Amino acid sequence: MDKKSPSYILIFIVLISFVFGLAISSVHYLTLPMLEKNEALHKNRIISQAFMLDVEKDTPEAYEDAIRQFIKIDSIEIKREKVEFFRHREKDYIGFIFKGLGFWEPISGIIVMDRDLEKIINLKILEQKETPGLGARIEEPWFTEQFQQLAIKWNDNQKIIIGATSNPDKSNVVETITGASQTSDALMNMLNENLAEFKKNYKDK
Amino acid sequence: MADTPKQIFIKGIWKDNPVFRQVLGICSSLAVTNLLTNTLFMAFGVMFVTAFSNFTVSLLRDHIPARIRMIVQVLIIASYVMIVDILIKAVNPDIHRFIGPYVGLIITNCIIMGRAEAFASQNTPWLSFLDGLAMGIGYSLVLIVIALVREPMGFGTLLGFPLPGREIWWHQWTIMVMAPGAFFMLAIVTWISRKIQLNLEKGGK
Amino acid sequence: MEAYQETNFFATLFIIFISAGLTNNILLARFLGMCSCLGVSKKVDTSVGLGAAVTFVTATTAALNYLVYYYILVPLGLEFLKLITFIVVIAAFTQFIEMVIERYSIKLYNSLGIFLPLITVNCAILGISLFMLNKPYGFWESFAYGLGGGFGWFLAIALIGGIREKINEKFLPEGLAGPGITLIIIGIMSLAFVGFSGMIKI
Repeated sequence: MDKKSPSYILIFIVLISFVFGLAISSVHYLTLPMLEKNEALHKNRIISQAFMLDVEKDTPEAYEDAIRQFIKIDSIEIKREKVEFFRHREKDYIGFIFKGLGFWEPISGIIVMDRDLEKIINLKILEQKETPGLGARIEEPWFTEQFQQLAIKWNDNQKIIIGATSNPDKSNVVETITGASQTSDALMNMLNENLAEFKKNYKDK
Repeated sequence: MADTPKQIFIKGIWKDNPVFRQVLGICSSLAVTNLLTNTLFMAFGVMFVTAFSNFTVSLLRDHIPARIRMIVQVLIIASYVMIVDILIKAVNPDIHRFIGPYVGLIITNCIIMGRAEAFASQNTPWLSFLDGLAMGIGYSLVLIVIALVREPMGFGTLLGFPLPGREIWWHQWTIMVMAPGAFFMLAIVTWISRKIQLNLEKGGK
Repeated sequence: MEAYQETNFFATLFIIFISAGLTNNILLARFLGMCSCLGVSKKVDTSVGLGAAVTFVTATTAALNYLVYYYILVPLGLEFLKLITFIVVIAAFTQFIEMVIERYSIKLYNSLGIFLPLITVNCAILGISLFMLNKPYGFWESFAYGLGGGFGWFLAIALIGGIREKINEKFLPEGLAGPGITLIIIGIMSLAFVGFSGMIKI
C-alpha cells in the first residue's frame, strides 16, 4: 500500500492511537484496585499523623483500625461542595480537608484544630505537585511542624500568616520557604479562605 | 556511515552533548538541578525513556508515514512514560510521590523527541537504543555538574546532608535555588565546554 | 475569584489574558518552551514568526482541549488519558495547519514551515492546556488563558530576539556566543519577571 496515500495515513494513525490507548487503558484498569488501595493507605496515614494517633504497625489495617477507633468521619457542606470533616473521639480535636490551587497545580491537606478553633494542632499536606526542591518543601516536617500550636486570629484579615509581617505579635506567623514565595502565598491564601468558610458552616451546625 | 557503539557514546557524552551542543532538554534541567537527589531521579528517568523510545521508534521506522511521524513519535513517548508512571504508582506509591512531578517534564523533554527524529528514524533498533542511552548519560552529566554547584550554594547541603562547617562559611544564596541561578550555571557550563571543544579543534588542525 | 464576579465578562477575560501573559509568563516564570526559544531567537523577525505561530496554536488548542476534555473525556470517565489526548490533539492540529497552508499559500508555508515541527515539541503549549484544567475556567476563559499564555511566550521570545540582534558576537569571549550568552540574557530577564509575579492574583 502506498505510504503517502491519505487512507494509509488515516488507518495508521487510528490504529496506533487505538493500540496505545488500549495499552494505557488496560494498564490503568488492571492497576485501579491497587491504586485505590494505595490512595486510601496514604490518606489514612496522613490523617493518623495529623491527629497524632499511635499506630503500631505501618500496615493499611493498622491505620484503618486506629482511625475507626479514634476518629469520627463526617462531612459538611461548604459552598455546595462536600468537605470531609473529622472529630477525635477522645480529645477535643477537629479537622478538615482543605483544598486550593498552588503555584500551578492543586494542593490539598488536612488541618487539625482544637474544638474552639483557637489554635492549630497540626497540619499535613495530602497532595501537591509544586516545584521539586522549592515549593514541594511544604510537605517537609520542618515546615509543617511550625503550624503546631499556631494561633488563629479570627478577627484579623489574615488569620494565619506565612512570611513576614509588621505586627510584633508573631503568634500566628510561620516562616516562609526561601525561593518559593508563590507557593507560600498560595498556601496562606488557601488556608485563610478555607478556614473562614469552615468556620461559617461549622457554627451553623 | 553507521556509527560504531563507541562513537555513539563519544558523541552523546561529549561531541554532540544534548545540553551544551544541541541545546535540548533545557526546561527540565532548570527545574530539577537545585537538589542533587532530584537531579539523579530525573537523569535516570530520561536515560531510561530516551533509550526505550528510541528503540521503539526505530522498530516502527519503516511503517510510520513521513507526514505524521511527529504525532506517532510523541504518542509512543507519552504512552511509554504514562505506562511506566501508572505501574510505579500501583506498585510503589511512596517512590511515586517522589518522582511523580518529573513525569510531565520527561514527556515534554525535547531530547527524547529530538533523538527519535534525528537518529532513531534512520538507524537500527540496537544502535538507536545505545544512542538514547548515550544521550541520556550526556544529559545526566551536565545536570549533575550544575546540581553540584547549586545545592551547596543554595542549601548548604549535598544529597540532603549538611556540608561540614556549614555554619561558618555558608550563607544562603537564594538566586541559586531559583531558576535564574540555573540559567547562569547552564551558561557557564556551556561556555566552558564549548571553549574546550574549540581549543581541541584548533589543536587538531 | 469572588471579586471578579461583579465585573463584566470581558474584563475578566482581559485580566486572565494579562495574568497569563505577563505576571505568570510561561517562558520566564515556568521555563517551558525553552528549547525552541534558544534555537530560534537569533533575529527579531524569526522570533516574531515563531511567536505568532505558537500564540495561534496555543490559543486554539487550549480551546480544543477544553472541549475534548469536558465533553468527551469526562463523560466517558477517561480523565487519565488527558495527557496523551492533549498531545495528539496538538500534534494533529499542527499537522493539519501545515497541510492547509502548504496547499493554499506556498509563500506562508516557506516562511512558517520550518517552525511547525518546533511547535509540536514546544512544551509551553502542552503546559498551558494542562494548567488550564486546574483553574475554574469556562470555555472563553480557557481561550483567553491560552491566548495570554501564547502571547506571553511571543513577547518573551521577541524581546530575546531583539536583544540578541543587538549583540555583536565578535566581542564575546570565545565559546560564549550562541546558547551561552542567550542563557545569560534569559537569566537576567527572568530575574526582572520575578518582580511581576504575584501582581495579579486569580
